[in-house]
Amino acid sequence: MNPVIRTLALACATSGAVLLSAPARAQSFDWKHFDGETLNVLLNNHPWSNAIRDLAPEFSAKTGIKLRIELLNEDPQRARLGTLLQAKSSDIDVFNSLQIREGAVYAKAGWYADLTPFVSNRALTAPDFNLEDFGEGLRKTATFGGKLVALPINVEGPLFYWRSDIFAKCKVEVPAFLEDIPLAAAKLKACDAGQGVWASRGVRNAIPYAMASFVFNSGGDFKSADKKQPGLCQPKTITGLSMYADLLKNYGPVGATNQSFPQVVELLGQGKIAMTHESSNEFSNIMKYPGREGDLQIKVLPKGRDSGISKPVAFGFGLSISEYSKKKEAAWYFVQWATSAEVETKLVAKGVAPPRTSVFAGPAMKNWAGEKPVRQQWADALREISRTGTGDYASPTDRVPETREIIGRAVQEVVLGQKTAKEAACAADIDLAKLQ
Amino acid sequence: MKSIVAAPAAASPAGIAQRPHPGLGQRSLSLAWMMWPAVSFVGAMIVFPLAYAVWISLYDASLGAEPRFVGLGNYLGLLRDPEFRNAFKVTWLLYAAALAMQLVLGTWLGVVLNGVRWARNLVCTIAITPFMLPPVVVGMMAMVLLDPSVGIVNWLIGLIGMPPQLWLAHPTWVLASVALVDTWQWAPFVALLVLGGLQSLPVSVFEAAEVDGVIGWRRFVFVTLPLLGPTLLTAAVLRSVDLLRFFDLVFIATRGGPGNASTTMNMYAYQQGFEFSRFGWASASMITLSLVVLCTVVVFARLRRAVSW
Amino acid sequence: MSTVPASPLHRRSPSALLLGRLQVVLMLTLVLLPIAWMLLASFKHSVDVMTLPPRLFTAPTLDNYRELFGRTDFLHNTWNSLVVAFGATLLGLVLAIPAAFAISWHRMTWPATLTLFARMAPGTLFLLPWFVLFSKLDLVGSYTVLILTHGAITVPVALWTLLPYFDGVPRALIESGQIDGCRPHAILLRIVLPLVVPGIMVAAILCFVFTWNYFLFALALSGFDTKTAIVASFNFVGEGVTNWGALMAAASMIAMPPLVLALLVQRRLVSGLALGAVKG
Repeated sequence: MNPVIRTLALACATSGAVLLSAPARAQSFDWKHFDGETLNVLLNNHPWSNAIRDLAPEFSAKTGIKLRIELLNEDPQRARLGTLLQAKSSDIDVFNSLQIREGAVYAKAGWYADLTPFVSNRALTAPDFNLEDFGEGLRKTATFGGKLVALPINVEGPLFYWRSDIFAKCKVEVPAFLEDIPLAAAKLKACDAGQGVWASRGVRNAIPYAMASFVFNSGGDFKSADKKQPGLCQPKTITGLSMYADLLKNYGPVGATNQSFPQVVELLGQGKIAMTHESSNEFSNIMKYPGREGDLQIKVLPKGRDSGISKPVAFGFGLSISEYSKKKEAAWYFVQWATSAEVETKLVAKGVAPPRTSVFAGPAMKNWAGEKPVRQQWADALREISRTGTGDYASPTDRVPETREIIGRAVQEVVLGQKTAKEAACAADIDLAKLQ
Repeated sequence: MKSIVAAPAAASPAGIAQRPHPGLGQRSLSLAWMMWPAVSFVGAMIVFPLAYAVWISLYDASLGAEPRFVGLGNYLGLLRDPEFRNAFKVTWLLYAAALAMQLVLGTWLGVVLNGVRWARNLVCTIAITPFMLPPVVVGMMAMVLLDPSVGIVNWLIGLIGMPPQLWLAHPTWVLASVALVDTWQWAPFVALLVLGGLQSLPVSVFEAAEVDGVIGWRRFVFVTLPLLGPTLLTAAVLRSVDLLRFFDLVFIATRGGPGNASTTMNMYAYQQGFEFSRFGWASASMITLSLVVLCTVVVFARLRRAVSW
Repeated sequence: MSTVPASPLHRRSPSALLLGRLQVVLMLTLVLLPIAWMLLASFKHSVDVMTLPPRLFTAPTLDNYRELFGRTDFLHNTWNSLVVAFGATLLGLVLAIPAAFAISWHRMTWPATLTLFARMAPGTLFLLPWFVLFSKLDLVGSYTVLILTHGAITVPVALWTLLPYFDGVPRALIESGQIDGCRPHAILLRIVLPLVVPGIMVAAILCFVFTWNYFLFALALSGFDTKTAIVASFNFVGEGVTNWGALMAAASMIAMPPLVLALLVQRRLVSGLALGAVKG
């Protein structure tokens, strides 16, 4: 045969072979890659966790990886997590945690595995994963020292719930601005003395969550102007703080300082209060009470009249891989599956707000929200707080849990009448400064 | 106060004071080896954790920070810390109130149970049910039942015209409510011990007392109670170690509040260690608490000498 | 107030009898009301549990129990709890009985105080060091480690419970046994033990209950397969729970085994005395 033709034929055959095998090489992500592995997952009691546990068999069917999911309430989960990770145990592969609260400390301790190499590894990540689908704010909260330590699993934040029927009955306008809330409360109380008006979190470390937006919308902040010192002792912060405390003191239920969201949910659900500022997570629980689907309305906490600011609290829990896990790659399969668009779509029906913008705007969400007006309000409110919200409502320090206690205590002192708002706030600043 | 009845010769498997015999038994029968399994077992289990805790307590150690040796710095800091001092005060107040209530009511309960005639087995079992419940469950029930706004207890007392009480939300009297709930749970425990003690008392002592004309209330105070001394002491010791380390109820039902009115030392240590991740400080708190309990137990152990022998 | 331990001589007056019965009724009511509430609540939907005025007779639902058994491996967890509780109780009694004998005979105090050490420190003090130690020994997640750690609780409880009973055994009895040439363990087993049976019964109940309800050690040291019921119930227990119904179902289920055990053991406790009569 002609040597030129022979060479050409060889070249064609070779390139043909190369072309045929190229798709096989690029298509190296395989859900079944870790078939037969077992993963230990430690989650805290949360609507998301309960829903994921129900969906776990689907994951096992898809990947052949067996899941051992442990669900514990927040405090026992943190105790177990802390003990095991301090001992550098490999008994936990995946866990969830709250980046805005313990993220900085856990990251410094080196407990989180860096997810960035996994995300960028085509062989280990499904092609449709799309990290940018998660809002930038959420991604930033989950990044410490350049490392992506968690993938967001939900969005949540406190929302303003109110009983439209009670407001209508008493001919009170729905608060359009933050300052209208205490005024509305006064009118409601005058209208019907037997109807409870307001309830919200009063337990020390739970208060900041519900109160933060009162401070922000009044134009205040928990940090000083230069962001380097605690800022409770500023006039606008004190305004917000005292508004929240006074609402509890004057219009709140008996024993408010011992109440957290279970009691608030109970009161709202039973119709014993007219309005509250409570977590979006409790939405599905509240709707279980008879009548609430029809008479409850939801929106973001109104902005301040003078400040014009609307800065709600919004954050999400994050799913992380333990740095001491011996099965990080298999764990990554679970993490990316649990945060995939497909799974998040399924979780929408269980009241879990998705952190992926595509899912939030997607058809599943639209259908579910369209079924009832109050659901649409919930979804709209969540969309807004995802955009404008912040997870940072502490003084400048890594020791966030302690700031919650100090700030909450200040509010409690005002509610119990032990100090004025100014005294409590400025005393708290001194304690907060010690944390820096 | 020793029994006014002379020590009987009959079997008395619960605390009748006997004068020590010098004599054959004590010199030649050596049983000390029998206690070594128990002592070594406990010793082996606790030596490492205690050593570790003491060692960590000498450092300023927090999660994510380099540990720094501070010697007794943590302990001195604790002594000056207003939160810890408050926790110390709270712990003692709660301990005194709860122990007194539980010993008194538990004894009463045990005595009542002892006198039950029909279905004694069933009644006794029902009566001791409360302490079979996990303390966390009792805490949750207390939180729910005693809630000032949605709790059923306030609704019930409202039926008879009383105003709603704050119970666990009262800034001043929260400890009384906590002690009350704890007594509900643990007086039956004391009652069980007392019941066992009473069951073992010899009939002959009481027959002799009746012959002497000592009956009713006087018999209870001067005969029964002294005989129950060792049993009550055990009850006091076992409750003391738990009451001084009070945790579950306050953690669940009040979260240490209102304010820090019900934050006990154990809860303080837990917060420092598990919520704030300040391990050195938390270890120092725990060691301090252990020492407090140790002193209390030593006092009771000395008392045992007086009561039993 | 008549406080008669079965004395045939004394007849109770009618008013004393009535007072006695009233006391029993009062006591039973106070004890039972919260427990009855708990049981009733376990058969209600969560939204109905706390409604006021309370609806006593809503249509009962088994949903809470279904959720309890469906969501958690509760039967398996209960089995694990049984193994650990029995094991720890056995361990406690086996170690504490001879120790109580020795401590009582020699009138010592320091050994009793020492065994109580594990109950003096907060439980959280032990978590991390034990975890580190036992994971080096590769025992984490086994029944062994759970029984051993809970043994640190049962040994002192059993010891202190038994001490009054051993203290009450007449020394003359023991000495006569020794004179008869009995070895110490024979004295213990044949002479002394029958006299302290009520104490052993009480100690057994207490050891079992304390181990059954203790979650802290199992929280850190149990594995997936050896998780105890109390830890499993932490699915529903703890601050911030709105699933009251399932919580009460978990609580009811957890309270069952200790109650049954107490019922069985009570019979022995009450009649145990019959063995105690010794000529003196």
